[in-house]
Amino acid sequence: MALAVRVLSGAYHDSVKLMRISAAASEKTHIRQAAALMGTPMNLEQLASSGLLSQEAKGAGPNDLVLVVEATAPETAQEELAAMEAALTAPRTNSGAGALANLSAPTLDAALGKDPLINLALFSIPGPSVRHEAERALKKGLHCLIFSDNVPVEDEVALKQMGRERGLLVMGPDCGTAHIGGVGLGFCNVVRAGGIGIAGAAGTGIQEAMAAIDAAGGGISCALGTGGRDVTDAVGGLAMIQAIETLSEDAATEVLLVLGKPPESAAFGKILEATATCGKPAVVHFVGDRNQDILEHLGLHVADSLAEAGRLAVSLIGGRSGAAAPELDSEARERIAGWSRTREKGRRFLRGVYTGGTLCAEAQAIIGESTPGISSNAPLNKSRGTMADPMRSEGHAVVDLGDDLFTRGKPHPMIDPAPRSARIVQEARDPETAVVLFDVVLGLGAHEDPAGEAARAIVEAQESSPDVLFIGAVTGTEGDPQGLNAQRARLAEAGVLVADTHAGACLAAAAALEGLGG
Amino acid sequence: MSAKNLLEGVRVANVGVELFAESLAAQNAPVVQVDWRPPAGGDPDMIERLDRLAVCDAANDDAMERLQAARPVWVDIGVAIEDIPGMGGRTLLHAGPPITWEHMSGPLKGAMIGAALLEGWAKDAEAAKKLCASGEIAFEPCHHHSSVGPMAGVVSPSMPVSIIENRAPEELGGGGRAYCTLNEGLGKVLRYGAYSEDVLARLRWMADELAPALRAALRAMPEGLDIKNVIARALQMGDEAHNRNVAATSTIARILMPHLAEAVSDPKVISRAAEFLAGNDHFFLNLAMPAAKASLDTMAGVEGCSLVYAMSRNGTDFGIRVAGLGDAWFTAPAKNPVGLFFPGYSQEDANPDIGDSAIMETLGVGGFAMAAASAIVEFVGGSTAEAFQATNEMYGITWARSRDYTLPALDFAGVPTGVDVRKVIETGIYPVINTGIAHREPGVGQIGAGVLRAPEAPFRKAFEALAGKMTG
Repeated sequence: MALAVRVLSGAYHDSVKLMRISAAASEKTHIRQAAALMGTPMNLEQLASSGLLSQEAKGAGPNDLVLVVEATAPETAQEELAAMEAALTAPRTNSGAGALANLSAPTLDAALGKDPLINLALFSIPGPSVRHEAERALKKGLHCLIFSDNVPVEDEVALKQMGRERGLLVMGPDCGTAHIGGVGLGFCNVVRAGGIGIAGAAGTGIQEAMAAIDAAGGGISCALGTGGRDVTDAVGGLAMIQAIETLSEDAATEVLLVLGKPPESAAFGKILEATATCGKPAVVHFVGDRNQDILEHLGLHVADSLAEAGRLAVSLIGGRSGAAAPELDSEARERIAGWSRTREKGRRFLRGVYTGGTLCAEAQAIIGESTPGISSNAPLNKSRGTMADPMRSEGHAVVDLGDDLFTRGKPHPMIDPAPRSARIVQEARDPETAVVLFDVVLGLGAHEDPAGEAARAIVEAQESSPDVLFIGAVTGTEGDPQGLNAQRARLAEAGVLVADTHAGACLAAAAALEGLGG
Repeated sequence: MSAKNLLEGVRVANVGVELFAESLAAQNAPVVQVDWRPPAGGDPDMIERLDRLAVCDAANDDAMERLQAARPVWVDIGVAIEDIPGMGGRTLLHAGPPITWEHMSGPLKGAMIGAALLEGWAKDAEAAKKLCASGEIAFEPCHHHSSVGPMAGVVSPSMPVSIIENRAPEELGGGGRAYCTLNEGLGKVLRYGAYSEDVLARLRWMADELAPALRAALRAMPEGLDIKNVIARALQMGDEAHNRNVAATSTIARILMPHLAEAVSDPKVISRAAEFLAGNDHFFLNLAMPAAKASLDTMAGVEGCSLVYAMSRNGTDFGIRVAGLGDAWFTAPAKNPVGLFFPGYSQEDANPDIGDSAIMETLGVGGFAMAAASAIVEFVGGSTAEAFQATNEMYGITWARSRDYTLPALDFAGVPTGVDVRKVIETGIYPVINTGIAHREPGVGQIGAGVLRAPEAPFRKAFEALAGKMTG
């Protein structure tokens, strides 16, 4: 048996706390006895009777703290001694509870004082202030998720380079969604754990794919967001590439799913290279991208929509491949045909009213295949199709209400759907509107009843415009707080044609427009 | 480099919108909300200087190691003129930064008059006043003589003083001493500016009987009396070691009593000394303060250190000293404490903030340790939650958590210690200070107790001096 002793002069600790530390040490295997006590005469006597009173401890006074460990080996005893000393000052953070942890911290440093094991800083502060704070977080060894927008691009590059050097991931700016270690960050759906790792430069894009994975019975290992600007040449896909590398090393990730809006050319090349060489099967889907042949040539799996990309990733686990492309079911076709026969002739345009930016882009990509000339405040192709007046739609138009233009100083429409409701009514009352297409995004961070809010607006709109066809899809899972089926039912009750996926809703809209002749 | 360690799980600091923290908490994920404000009020010039002063970090770590290692022990009771370094014959020490007679507030003038009478330099108050105004007496800050004094903090040559020695290893600044008078009690006392005959009689008794008795008891304790230990224990018993000292005073009495009985032969003397301790809850304050001073002075002069080693008030000005800026004082007019008053007095009677006792907050107790003192939460609004919040906020402006002074109500978190001038400027959070309140007229004494925030200007001035020194 080996005895290790330490006497700490003038260190006062309450005896109850010391008893806890003694007990915790004594419970361990290889430790025969352990004691932490003040060196009062009575305590020293107690040590003596247990055979723990060494020469060193004999010299201790009532103001000295005595730590004693008796263990099977000297190294074990020394190690335990160090652990007991550390336990004296260690904050109790395991539960994340406690009076102090529950109080908000005045600074990031103070937060780290409360919980030294914090490993991620989530920023939703004004964009120009982000760099200063995030640099500090990186210096402290924290990964960053930057929800804020309006961060200068040079700040984004500097932060991502700094993070890369330190093995820290900088998600965002303008990153709304991530799912790490079973925990959703920002706007995120509740999904099963599984083998699909997502790297996405698109918030609602990640959500739509996650929802499809969940619907197909799959699960995710994690979802890492990068922010949409990451895949521009100015940033060069820094976070996307780091995320892909991270997923390739992650034991829990069997299949990669890389998605977003189309990257700019130089960034695209780098991202494809990283994905193709990651050593795992990978699905790559960039909304509206037309380079599918190249991707397939690189051995990557491609899909026609965000939802299909999710389903495809599920099918790749276990070596299966291929997934059926979404098609309209016969019920939907009949309903569209019936509507087409009875509608007013003047109603001939599509109006999309979106809360999710990537979904708005996907609508342009899918419907644009058959219906050219769709304009948007967030056009998929920046060189054409910009709405003249984002506040008033003309012709075929899809509007992204999550755009900075609408959210300055206001909550995002996924949090507060009121502006979206108003826009639904506005579009339906336009005598040229034939179809109103919209998204409903569920999950953590989102409004508690977004479908209900949309349904109320639709019922109101139908009073004056009974001929308009409302088509919608719900991005979410049954595990989400709002519940997928209940939300779908709310829309169906209001007379909405509800598709299983967002891509399905887009196909329905395209089919409805087909018969109208523009 | 990949970011693989991230995937093991997240513990989040949520900087900004609280909604995200709520969502994480609902998922049982560990999250700490950070109430972010633009640093330095968003002033880009200040932010740039703050960034450049990151060079202070290493020096602060060194200085903090000294502060943490300090082990103040009550070793003896001496006499001011004999023991306090540099104490002159016709010198009166006072609390706070330097001040002239003309600028002194009522209670400080009152204490000076009382001290002159006590020393027999004048036959009555009028004569004492004239003497004080004549320039024949040197008025010097306690802090310039390794001393501290509560409220007016007046030390005259014949007064008995406790001697506190820092028994830390020499390489960590050990060996230094600090001095403080014995606490007279509450109400009508010299340190609050009262100087009537009963006040002076008590002081004479303290010098003639109490001090020798306690000295004898103390000398019967070869190791001295460990004040750090008593402060640490008192924090577990509901003291914050500034406005509440009942637990510590009781502890001191308990430790002293056997030695007192052993060392003093006259039972009447023992009885009167014991009665005095029993009747004065704040006896310990005058031991805690020099203990804090002896601990904090180890940081003074650490090159590049941005931590405050003294906060103090003389009833007219509030001043701070910063470790990396040597002896210099950075001052601003003292503010008025907001408080609770004894019957017959109100806020209008209150003198501006006074006393060296803010040395307790400088150490990280007092207002900084409000979470320890449930019994006096009335000072900060009346609820334990507000007391927790006061302590919690101070973590935003301090360099470390004390290893030895801990807060049971906050799961034994160490008190916030080492006020960092940079963090004060960055956050706009000012130290919370508990304090007694003196009547603004000389001769009245204590009228209440309360709490206030340190003023902004001394910290800004010190920050500018530090920025000038460190970055040219």
